[in-house]
Amino acid sequence: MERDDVLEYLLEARESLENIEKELLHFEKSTLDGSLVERELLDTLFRHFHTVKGSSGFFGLTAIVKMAHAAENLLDYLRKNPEAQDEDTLEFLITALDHLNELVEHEESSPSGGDFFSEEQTQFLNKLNQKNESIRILLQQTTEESTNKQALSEFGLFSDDVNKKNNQEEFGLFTTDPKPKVAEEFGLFTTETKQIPVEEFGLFQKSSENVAKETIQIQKADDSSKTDKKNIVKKDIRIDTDKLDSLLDIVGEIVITEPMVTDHADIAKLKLENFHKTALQLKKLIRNLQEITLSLRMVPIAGVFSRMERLVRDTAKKTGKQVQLIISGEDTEIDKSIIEEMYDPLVHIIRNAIDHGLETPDERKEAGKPTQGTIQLTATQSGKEVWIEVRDDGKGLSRDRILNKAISLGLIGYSEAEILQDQEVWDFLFHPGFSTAKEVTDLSGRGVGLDVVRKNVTTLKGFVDVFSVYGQGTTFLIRVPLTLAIIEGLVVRKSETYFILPSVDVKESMYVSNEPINELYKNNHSIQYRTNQISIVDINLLFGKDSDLNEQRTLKEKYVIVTESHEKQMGIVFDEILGNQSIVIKPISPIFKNINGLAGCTILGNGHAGLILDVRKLISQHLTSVTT
Amino acid sequence: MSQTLKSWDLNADEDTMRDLYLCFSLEDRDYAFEVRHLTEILALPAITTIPGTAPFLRGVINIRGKIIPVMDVRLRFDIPFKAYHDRTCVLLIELDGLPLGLIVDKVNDVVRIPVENIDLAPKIGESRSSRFIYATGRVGDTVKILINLQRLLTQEETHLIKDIPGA
Repeated sequence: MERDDVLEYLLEARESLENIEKELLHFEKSTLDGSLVERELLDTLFRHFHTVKGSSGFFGLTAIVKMAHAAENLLDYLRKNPEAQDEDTLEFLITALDHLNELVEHEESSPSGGDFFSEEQTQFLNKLNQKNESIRILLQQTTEESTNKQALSEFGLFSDDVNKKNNQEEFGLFTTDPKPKVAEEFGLFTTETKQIPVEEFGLFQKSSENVAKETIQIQKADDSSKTDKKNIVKKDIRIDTDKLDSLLDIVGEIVITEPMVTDHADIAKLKLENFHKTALQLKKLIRNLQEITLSLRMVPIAGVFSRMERLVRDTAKKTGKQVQLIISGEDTEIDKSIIEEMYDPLVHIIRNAIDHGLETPDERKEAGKPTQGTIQLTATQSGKEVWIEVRDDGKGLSRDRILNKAISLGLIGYSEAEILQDQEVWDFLFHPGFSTAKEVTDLSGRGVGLDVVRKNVTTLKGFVDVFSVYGQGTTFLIRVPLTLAIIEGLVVRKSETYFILPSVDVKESMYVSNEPINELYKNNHSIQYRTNQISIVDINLLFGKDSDLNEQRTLKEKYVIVTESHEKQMGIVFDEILGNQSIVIKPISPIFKNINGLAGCTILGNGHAGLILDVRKLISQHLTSVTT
Repeated sequence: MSQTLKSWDLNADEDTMRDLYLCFSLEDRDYAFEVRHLTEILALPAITTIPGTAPFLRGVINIRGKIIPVMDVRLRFDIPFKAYHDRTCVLLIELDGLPLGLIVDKVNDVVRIPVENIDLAPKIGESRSSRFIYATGRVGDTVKILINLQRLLTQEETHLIKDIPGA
């Protein structure tokens, strides 16, 4: 139970740290353009660190407390001496944040009593404390006598050993406190309000009333100024995903059952005008209900996008390039599970864009571009898809270099290279083992290529495309479905079993009355489709049994669904096509091991369970087994 | 036809559930397993076969919007297949959080078999179907064969289940 509490807290801590990251990046912007950071920003940062420190104290995570505390001190000095802000202090804060993230992560995966686990961390903490100490001395020298005094007592409190004592005291205070549970709850939901006063008392117990009062007042002022913002944030509610899933299940059921009732065979021939009116009303309501429940899983993509800011900053720094990230459409909503899967592909593409796409400031100047490169990260909703675009204004893709590489890898011959469309050339980038980087750098070329990006996106039933104009830049466009819970599918029947083929994979369906089958050898058949011969298979064959087609010379009254994946086509033979419909995807029980060709199950209008085919997998498995 | 045991299942405390076994028949033999694993008894609904799986896994059924895999216990025990009829039942059980339907010829009753009436199964060789049986239980003059539900999905199979992410 206790462990659960800690884990839940760590999740909260992660959120606070994410906020800190966001604020720090703002901080950096103002530092870089030379203006002083606003007091409000410093206060916000201070408060976030403070929250992390305070709540971590409850759980005895001493390392986090120490680290957050040191960062807090640094910020406190900055509040008093805004002119002391420089890149150095910023770097300290960012590194402190990194260490905090590390500590939180470590605590999640392997709880170790909450202390530091690497030498680096302790060293950094010492360095940070030294920095604080030096600022303190500086402050002492420059400030007036009276303030000096005040500062002294305060600093005394924060200096290392006293600090330790205080920490212990703090923990003592909280563990013996009869209401830690309550306080913790506040910590969870409102970040500070309750906690801070409690902790302040612990910290300032021995200090003069004056200081304590002042600090509390500051806190209070902050709180009131923050309340407006927080009200907006607090509209969220955490829901157990299991509950959400069962709600989605039930709504999915209703959606399926509705036509079963309103178009029931028993009433098909009756004239029921009023009934149909109300049925129509019900239909509308059910559609609304479905939309709303599906939207429950939808979250704005802003969370992932804002994490890119940090990435851009770090990558730019490492490569010595100047990069500006412009984010738009971050409030576009998309299924939570998809968002999580988008992170890695985006990281990869953006890193690539900075590392390979953008030129160095000098090169840019020569090319007549502004020294600062731009990366535009945009999300837009387009029908049932979300389009995520990463556009850089760098040097663009070099057709020649890509072609040379493709030829050297044996992907194409010289003669073919000439006639390829640009689009086809860019597509080589997604080929496994294809890297246009001249050398392996720290940032890329570690064997993870764009092929992995495409693979990740394809698993989400999405697409990645690349567009480029040499000298002007490159654009990566990722298209993913809004949600994975519902797909459009073609319902077909093969003897007693119903199958669903996702509509995106279906190229054409045709009724074949007497088409001759060409049998190349056992289990390998083809028919003439337009100008090509395409492989046709029986669904049994795809699941490792012998094909029904072996005994047949022609396709008599059968339906062939032509499916396509990665430009490979395959016809699958069925007995009947029932039509297109929205399918609620349900997972298939893990008891069925080794089934690769199924993407899930669904329940059809007739109450039967239908099997959703993973067409892409079936094609890639079957067609490779045929060719090898 | 379907009878829900869940309501009293939930209310019953551990003690009253103890020693209770659900008995069912295959051919002329009586088998039993602990009632606490059972969630529901149903008439056999339409089965959607899943291609490319073990023969004893008959496919999936739709139980009020939930898709649940079903296993033919006869086939699992290497007893020849028998066509389903209107007394064929599905026993819904839950094994380590995974729902599973067991297709059996006939459900008999729930009996109390106190621990002292249970004798661990004699180890006579390691036949393929004997690994599902862990003991015999005496009820009056008859003997029930007690089965170990966990073993219905053999070690190899349950191992594979764990390998599937998200399972």
